[in-house]
Amino acid sequence: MRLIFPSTRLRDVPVNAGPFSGPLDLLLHLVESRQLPITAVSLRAVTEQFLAAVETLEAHQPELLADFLVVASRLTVLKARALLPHHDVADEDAESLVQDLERYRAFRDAAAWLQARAAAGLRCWTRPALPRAPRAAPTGDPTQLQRALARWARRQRPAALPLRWTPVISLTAMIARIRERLAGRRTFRELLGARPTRPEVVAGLLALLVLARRRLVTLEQPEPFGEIWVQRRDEYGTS
Amino acid sequence: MARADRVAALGALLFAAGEPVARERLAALLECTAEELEAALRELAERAAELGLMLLAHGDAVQLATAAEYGPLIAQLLGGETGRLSPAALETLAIVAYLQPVTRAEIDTVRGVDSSAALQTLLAYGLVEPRGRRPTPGQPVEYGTTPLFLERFGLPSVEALPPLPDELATLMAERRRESERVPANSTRRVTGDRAATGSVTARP
Repeated sequence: MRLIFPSTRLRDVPVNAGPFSGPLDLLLHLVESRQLPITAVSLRAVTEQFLAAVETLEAHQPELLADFLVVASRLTVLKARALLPHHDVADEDAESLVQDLERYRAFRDAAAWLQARAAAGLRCWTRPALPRAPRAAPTGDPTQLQRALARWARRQRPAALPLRWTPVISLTAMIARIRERLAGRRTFRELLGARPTRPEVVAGLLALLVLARRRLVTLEQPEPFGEIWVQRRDEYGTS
Repeated sequence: MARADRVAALGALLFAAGEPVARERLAALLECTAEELEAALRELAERAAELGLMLLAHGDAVQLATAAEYGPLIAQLLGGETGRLSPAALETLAIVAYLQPVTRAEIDTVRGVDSSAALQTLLAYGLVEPRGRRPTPGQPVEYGTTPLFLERFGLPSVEALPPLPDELATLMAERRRESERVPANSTRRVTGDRAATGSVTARP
C-alpha cells in the first residue's frame, strides 16, 4: 500500500483512524474539520489525509483495514479522474461516494441525537410485567384450615394395613407335585395345571431344571418359546 | 361504556399490564371499535401527561410509561444504569431505528464498515431484535428496534425520531417501495394461481 500511495510526506495534520467508527466516519471528520461541504472537490482535497490515516490503521486494527481500503480506493479513483485530461465525463463514482457520505452523515447525526438524549437522562420507566401465574390469593374460612389440619393428622397415623398372605409354593413341593403328575410325556403347561400363578411358573421351571439335573426327566423344546415337553426317565437312566 | 369510563379503563388496563398490549386486545377488552380506541388513546395520552406518564406505541402495541422528562429524577430514585453505547453501536442503532426492518448487509453499506459486533451488542442489550427473514436470495435476517429502545430513549414511538434530510427521506421511501414490490409480486402470482384454479373448477 505504501508503494502505491507515497502519502506520508503529504500528511499535514496527523490523523489516526483508530477512534473513528468506520471509514465514512473518518472521511466525514476530515471534510468537516476543514469546514467543507460534501462535494467531489472536497473529497479530493482530503484524500491524502485519509490515506495517511489508513496507514496507521494497518498496525493497530488490521481487521478494519479492508473496509477502509474500499473507501481509500474509491477516493483514489476520484483523485485519478481529476488528474486525467478527460475527467469531464459523468463522474458517477464521485456522485455515489458523495451520496454515501451524505447518507452516513444523516445517521451519524441521528446517533448523536440519541446519544444526547441518553446523556440528558431522557428515558422512560415502565412497570415490570408481573409473572402470569400468581392468581388471586385463594379465599377460605378457618374451619377449612381446621379440616385440612385434621386430614393431615389422619395421614400421620396410617391405618394398619391388612396383611395379605399368599402362600408361595416351595421348590421341594413343586418337585413332588410334578413327579406326581408326570406320567409318560407331558407338556410343561399340563404339569402346571390350569391358571398357574407367576410364582408357580417360576418354581415349576426351577423344579424341571432340578429334575433334569437329577436325570429323572428329559426336557425337549422344539422351538424357542414353544412348548416344553417333559418325559419321565426310568430308574436305569434310559428313556 | 361511556367515553370517559373507557379512557379510565384503558389507563387501568395499561397500568396493570406494564408491558406493551396489542391494540386489538385492548379494543376487544373495552368492547369498542379501533377508531374509538384511538380516540381513547389520544385522550389517555393527554391525561397521562398530567400524572408524569406517557404512552409508548411499539408497532401495534401500546405501553404506559413514565414521561421522558422525569427520567433524570427517577434515575435518582432507582439508580441509573451506566451502560454506555459505543459510537459504532449508536450509529447502528440509529440505522435500525430509521430503516427497520433492515438487514445487516444494509447497515454495513450505510456505515461503510462491518457492523456485526455493534449489532451483537445491541441484541445483547435488548434494544434490537430479529424480525424475521426477507424473502430475497439468502433470506437475510431483518432487524428492528424493541419496546426497550423506546423506553431507554424516552420516545413515544419510532416516528418521534427527528426527520431525516429530505433527499435521504425520498431515497428511503423509494427503497421501501422497491422492497415492498417483492411481496406485491408474489401476492399477484397467488391470485393468478387462484384464478387459474377457479377456471379449472368452472370447466366441468
